[in-house]
Parts: sequence; structure tokens; C-alpha cells
Amino acid sequence: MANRWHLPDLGYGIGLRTTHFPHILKHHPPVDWFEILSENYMDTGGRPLYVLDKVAAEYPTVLHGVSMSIGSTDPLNWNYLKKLKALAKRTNARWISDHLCWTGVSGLNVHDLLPMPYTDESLKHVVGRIKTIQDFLEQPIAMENASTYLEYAHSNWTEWDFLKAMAEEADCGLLLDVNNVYVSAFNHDFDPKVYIDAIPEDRVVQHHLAGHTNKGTHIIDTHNDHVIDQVWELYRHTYQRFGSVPTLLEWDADIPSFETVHGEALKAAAYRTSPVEEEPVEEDRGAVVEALTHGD
Amino acid sequence: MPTNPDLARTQRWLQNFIVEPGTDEQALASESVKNEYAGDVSQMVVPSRTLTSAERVGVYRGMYLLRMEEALTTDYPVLKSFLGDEVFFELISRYVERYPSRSHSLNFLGRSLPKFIGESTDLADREFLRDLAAFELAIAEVFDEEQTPVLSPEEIAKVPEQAWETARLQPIAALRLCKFDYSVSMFKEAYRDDEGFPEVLPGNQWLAIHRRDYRVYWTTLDEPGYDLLGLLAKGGVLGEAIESICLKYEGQVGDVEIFTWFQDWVSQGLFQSLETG
Repeated sequence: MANRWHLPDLGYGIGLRTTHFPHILKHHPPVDWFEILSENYMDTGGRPLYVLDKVAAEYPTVLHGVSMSIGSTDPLNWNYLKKLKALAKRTNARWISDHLCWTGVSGLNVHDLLPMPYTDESLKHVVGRIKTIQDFLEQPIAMENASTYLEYAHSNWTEWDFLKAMAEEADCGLLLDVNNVYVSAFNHDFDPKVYIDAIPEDRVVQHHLAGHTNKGTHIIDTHNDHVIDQVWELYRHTYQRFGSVPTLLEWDADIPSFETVHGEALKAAAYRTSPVEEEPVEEDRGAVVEALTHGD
Repeated sequence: MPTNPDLARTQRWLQNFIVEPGTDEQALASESVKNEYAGDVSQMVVPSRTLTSAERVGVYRGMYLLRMEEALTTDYPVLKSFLGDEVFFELISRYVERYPSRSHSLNFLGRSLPKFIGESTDLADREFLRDLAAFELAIAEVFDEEQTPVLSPEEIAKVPEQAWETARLQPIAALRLCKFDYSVSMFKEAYRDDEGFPEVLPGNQWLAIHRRDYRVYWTTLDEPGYDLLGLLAKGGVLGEAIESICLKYEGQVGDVEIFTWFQDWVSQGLFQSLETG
């Protein structure tokens, strides 16, 4: 099902990373689209911006940020938003996304995607800020579900119901990160399919996929490895629900060659077309803990 | 049991816990955290099947300093290599406690590190480390500076001879002039070439750090050349600047030196425009 804004299915994209600049400039690889980490290009006039201009002239791009801090109780950062708007215009970005989270208060920024308590107060707060930002940017934005490692005792919404209500009340898009659903499901012990099935179909404009680090007791969203099989299977389930949605492979640490990252992104095609297999999606926590304990 | 905290209080509670120095236990018991929520952590955060409430908030706390270190390693690789991982981590832990990020970008996180090192009286080789950090900061700033046009030798050749006396030269944005008490560039070059660091010995060094074709370079200057370039970069009139330098360094600086410097600076692309009249 198409999203309500009729944003196109761009295909299989990857994040633009400095380590791949020489390869991209030299070989002009046939990538469907690139996702640009907004903050990396807002405050530079050097080589990164030069390469970005070249890439944006040749490929479709979307902007993805980590510092909008939509959930923060600090005032909106208008300096940041002005730079974001200018960057979107410069790159002709197809859309802009950030995370349902906060990154700091009292003027500080801890540069992490910190979790929101899912309360009525939070919902009202976030919805109001998204509306203000969309008005300023003059376009809908997409909010991503972040991986989380804690749950507040006073939350009275599930994350998926909160996301649904937020998207509908603010009239914004959603960037559904399949790996993050898996990570949070593991950390908070819920069924990831229940989460995905609750997300409104016409709000999802993009997916993320990534590797993660399983610590045994919890999973950290590290973007440093291949996508694991269970996440691919969850992506297959996601495809069954949402159809063809632009899909982006994130690889941000221990970044391998361009071909490896791009190849990983292209694997997604196989999960858009294959029949659904009735494999259990949830990782066997007990087996992982045992393996770690025994040094395997 | 305390009442549920509002959103603002919840956020201050978690952030204070994350940035508070010391162990997790010390942070949880700290005044800044308790002021926001006096109850037990388990009343704020539910435990999971495998982690206690304190362990769950500890995940965020543990990642904070690692992320700050990663960002500062990008800007200060030589400083980290010189100090070693452990000392560098300890240094940046104290630094971000004093100068936490207040920007949407991590690009600005390290801007006060040379100053902080200069103030850290307990640090061995403090003045050298301050210079080394200042050198790496200048490189980072030049890397990210705005791209400006470059005045070409052909444009220079078109300037009538009589116009030079009153000309002003505008430097490119991506230029930093630095004076150090230690020869810090040798340490950068040793790091780049994967060689051992030289001995730390005092000795003045004057550098022009600049960018050309999106690559950062540093050029060693002598003191009169540094002074002249500094006067020009501040918008000084060429004739007056040269006269001032010749007077200050009488007997050391003549037409030949000035001509050579100027030729080098133009060929290195240090100026973006020339204003005559």
C-alpha cells in the first residue's frame, strides 16, 4: 500500500559515509538512493559538502537526522531547523526524517537517542512539536522508532500505540526501523510482529535495516555488522504488511567496503518477493546466554 | 512511593544520571539525580528479565563517554596516540564534565580542549599537549571551513605595479596562522608516517594551516613571514605591513625574502581576493 503522501519507492539505499567517498566519486555505483546524515553536512564547507553536492546531483537523497530532539522539553532549536531546511533544499531531499526520542535538556546534548516515557503528556508534547516543525519545513517529516534499552515505570502506552497515535495526531510519516523493532522487542520482551502489525500502513515512508550487537542480556543497536536472519525474516513480515517501501541499510561502525554494504542492502530484494516462511522471529535468548557463558 | 514525575523531570533525571561522574551507584545517589527524583531507580525504570533497573539505565550511561571519546578521537588522533588510550579517556572524561556538548553537532565538542589542557595544572607536559591539541584543532577547523575562491597567479599578474602599495589581500577562509612553543607538526608527521614520536623539546614553530582542493596542508613559516602574513590576514595595507615588518626585523628581511614569501603564499592559494585603491 502506498503512503498517503505518495512518496515514491526509491528502492534499496545505503547511508553516505566518508569512507566510501573515493569509491562513489570514481565508480558512480548503481545505488538506488543515498541517505544523508543531516548533522554531518550542516556545519562544514569542506570536502564532505563538496562530495554531497556531487552525490545529490547524481542520486536521489533523503535527509536523516539525530539531533532534532523532538521529545526534549527544551525549546526547539531554530538554528538547527534553519540549517536542516537549507540542507534539504540544497540536496533536493525527497523527505526528512529523525527519531522519536530526545537528545538532551537544559541546553546540553548527550548525542544519544534517549527514550521517551510513553505517556499522555509526552504524546501531546511530541505532537505539538512535530506540527510546528512540519509547518516550518513546509513538508511532512518521518519519525523513526529508536532502539531502546529501558522502559519507564510510568509509561501508560505501548510504543507501537504511541507511534500510531503520534503519527495520526501530528499527521507525520513514520520511518519503521525493522532492526530497532527487533532490538527493542528483545530488550523489552514483546512480540515484534505485534508491534509491526499495529503500525498504520499509510504512514510508513521508509524502512531501516542494520546489524546489531547481542550482549546476551540485551541488544545494542550498533550498526556494525550484517543484518541477522531473524531481522531479515521480520523484514519479510513487514513487506507482507506494508508492501514495497524504500529500504535503507545502515552500517556506521567497522564499515566494510562499499560493495559489501551495497550488497547487504540489495539482499532486501529477496525478502520482498519470497513467500513467507513460518519461522520464529524471536531469538533464543537462553541459547545466546549459554553460548556466551561457555565462551563460544 | 513518589508520584510519577513529569516529562521535564524525567528527562533531567536521566540526563543527570548519564553525565554525572563516578560509578553508576555514585551517580544514582548523587544530588543532581536525587533532586529530580528521590525514589528508587526501580520506581522510575522497570527491570527486564535479564537486567535490573540500574543496569538498564547504566547502558545509556556507559555509552555516553564512549561516544564522546569517539568524537574527540576523530579530531585529536595524535593527542590520543601520544597520551595512550587510558590517559586520553581519563582526560576527555574530565573535559566533557567541564565542557559538555551544547550543540546539535559533535563537530564542536572539542573546541575548548586546548584551553582545558592549558588549565589542567596536574597534566605532565601540559604546555606541549596544549600546543599539540591547538594544532589538531586548527586542522579540524580548516577542514570544515567555508570554501572560498582562490586568487590565481594570473590575476595577481594583472595588478598594476603602482597599485600594490595600497592593496589589501583577503585570505581564504580555510587558513589558520598558529604560533606554538613546541614543534608540534613533527608529531603529526610521525603519527602520519607511523613512526615513533620525537622527544618533547621546547622550540618555537610558526605555521600556516590551510586547505587547497579540499585537502589540508601546513606550511612552516619563519617569524617575520608569520608576522607579515598575520598583518595581511587582518586586512592590513600591503605597503604599510611590509614597512612594519622591515622595521621590526631590520637587516633580516629584504625584498628578496618578501618576494619569495609572497610567491609561495600565492602558489599555495592562501588569498581569495585583492582590493586595490
